[in-house]
Amino acid sequence: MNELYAVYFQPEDWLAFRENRRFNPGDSVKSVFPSPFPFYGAIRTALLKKYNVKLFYHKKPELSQELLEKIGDENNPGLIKLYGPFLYSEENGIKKHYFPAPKNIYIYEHDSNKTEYKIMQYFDTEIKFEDLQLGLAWIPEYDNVQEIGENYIELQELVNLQSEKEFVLSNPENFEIESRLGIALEKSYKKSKEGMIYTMTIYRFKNGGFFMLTDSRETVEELSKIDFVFLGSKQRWCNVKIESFPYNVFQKIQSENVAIELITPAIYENGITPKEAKFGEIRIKAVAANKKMAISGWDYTSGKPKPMHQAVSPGTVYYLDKVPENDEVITNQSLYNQFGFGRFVYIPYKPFE
Amino acid sequence: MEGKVFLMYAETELHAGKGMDIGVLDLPIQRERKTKFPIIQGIKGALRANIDNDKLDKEKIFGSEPGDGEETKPGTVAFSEAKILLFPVRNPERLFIWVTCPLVLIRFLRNFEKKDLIKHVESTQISDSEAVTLDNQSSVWIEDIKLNAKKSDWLLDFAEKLSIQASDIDYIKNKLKKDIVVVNDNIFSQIVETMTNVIPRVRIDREKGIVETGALWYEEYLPQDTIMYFIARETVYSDGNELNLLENALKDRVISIGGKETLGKGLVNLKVVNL
Repeated sequence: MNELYAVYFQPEDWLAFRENRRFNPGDSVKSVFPSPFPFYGAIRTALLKKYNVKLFYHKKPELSQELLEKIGDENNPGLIKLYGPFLYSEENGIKKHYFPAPKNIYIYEHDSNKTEYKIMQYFDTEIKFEDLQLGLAWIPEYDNVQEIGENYIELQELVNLQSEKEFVLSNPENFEIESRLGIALEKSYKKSKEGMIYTMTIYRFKNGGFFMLTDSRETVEELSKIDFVFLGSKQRWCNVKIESFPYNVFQKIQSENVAIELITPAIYENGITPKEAKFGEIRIKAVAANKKMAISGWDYTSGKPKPMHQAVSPGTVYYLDKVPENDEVITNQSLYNQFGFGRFVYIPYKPFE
Repeated sequence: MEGKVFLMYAETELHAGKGMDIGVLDLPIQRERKTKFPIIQGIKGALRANIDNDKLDKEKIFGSEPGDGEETKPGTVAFSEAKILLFPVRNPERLFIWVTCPLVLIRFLRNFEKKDLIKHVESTQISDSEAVTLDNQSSVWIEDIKLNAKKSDWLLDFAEKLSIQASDIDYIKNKLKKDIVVVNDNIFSQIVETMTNVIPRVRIDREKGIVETGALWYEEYLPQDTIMYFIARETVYSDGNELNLLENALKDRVISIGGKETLGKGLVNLKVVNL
């Protein structure tokens, strides 16, 4: 794989990514962790502006073939190749990068009250899950086991996990989820209109924001043309910066037993797994699954919602029977893989003895 | 920079409320949850309500009005929230001074790509007992708190540039050149949380002429002379001239933002600044 770059999206104040449903006056909506789609849309729109393409609401812009091949459209990412989004914080110029925590982690409390984050082992048995025969991701201890409360793993800790060293999970402290109240004012009087009130939850960052990864020089060249995007609901402004990423999270690991952790959503034919629980010839031995998530979006050119899919959430772990020769065997199984769906990192596991 | 920064100088107290709350304050102001810094979320609506239709094509700038049953159209200008820049506090020697902090300054200066100034702000260490000042005094009072003062040239540079554009009144310009202090982020967070104006209000029973039972409540206000700012930027649907039209319709105007308008609250003077 080529050198990795991070594309940072630093919001000015807050960001919101609405639930996939219609939004009416008097409503209350939640912000969800975003899929890659709002980021692709925001980048494409900013690039269209940079290329002096006049945009009209609810009208698809007429693009030359050359421009279409560069920046793509809603079905084709063009030269833009990004994986994410993920969270980052930045204080005094130092960035910390947070990825989804693998779902096969638990906490073991030692007698000395020291706690240790451990990876579930693979238990070779046969259980029937829907129409699949799978083994189990297994906690080998009976006592002193705690569930994890953290949802993220910081980059250096992921490096430790991949190297089979001690690691910890964490929750970044650089943002809060706030509730925002909106009203409509009467035209002639400065008072709120009856029934015209809504609330929505928003991500407010004290520092940092979201980032995406790319290993494509062409993507870096295109994105270098923009300094900012309007991202998510209510067109919130984000500064855009590109920097070299310090570690290749996608590289293969030195371990006899290899699992993969999804770090972006994946949409598989069989729901929680690809068809017949296989990535090509590679068999899935066990799954530690996160909750499913809905993936959709809003098509601005037609003013209609995009098709809705149930996706496997980031954090889901698949125990594999062997190491794939190339990553495409796995990523190609997911719908929208060209938009960065189904990206994963390798993590080690041990069989239960 | 790709947008315009509008400075808001509060000519009267400001109340942009977050609604009813549980606690001592019945009607608190809007704040960032993480930092407690005051904000005003509904800038766009307030501006729309303050501009006459004959001065500006409001639907083009702000988008279509909601609630007429049809899908709304987006505007051509996007607005940030209004954010705090300088917060006035009582000072026994100078009547009042403006307080700010590195995080607030960095957020503000980012809009002007002032990388050198941002580096100076970032590299200035301010302890809980210190404040960066514009002159050579040994200490500075923030209400009843005495902090050790240390002078910094970068603050002078900032105050000079801001003062020229923040007000038309020479007295205010001169005061801004000497009465800004910078405390650390945590102290500033505590100042803006505890040194706002809290005003008790009552409702009088019209027949009896006395306070109605249970009709006592407390409202929170940002003090007069608070300086906030917001940024307006053209969206992808703009023709490239909307910001100039907006600036012409708003600059040097006194408009009403937030609640309690009929009590004379919320009057702010708008200026476009470029450091």
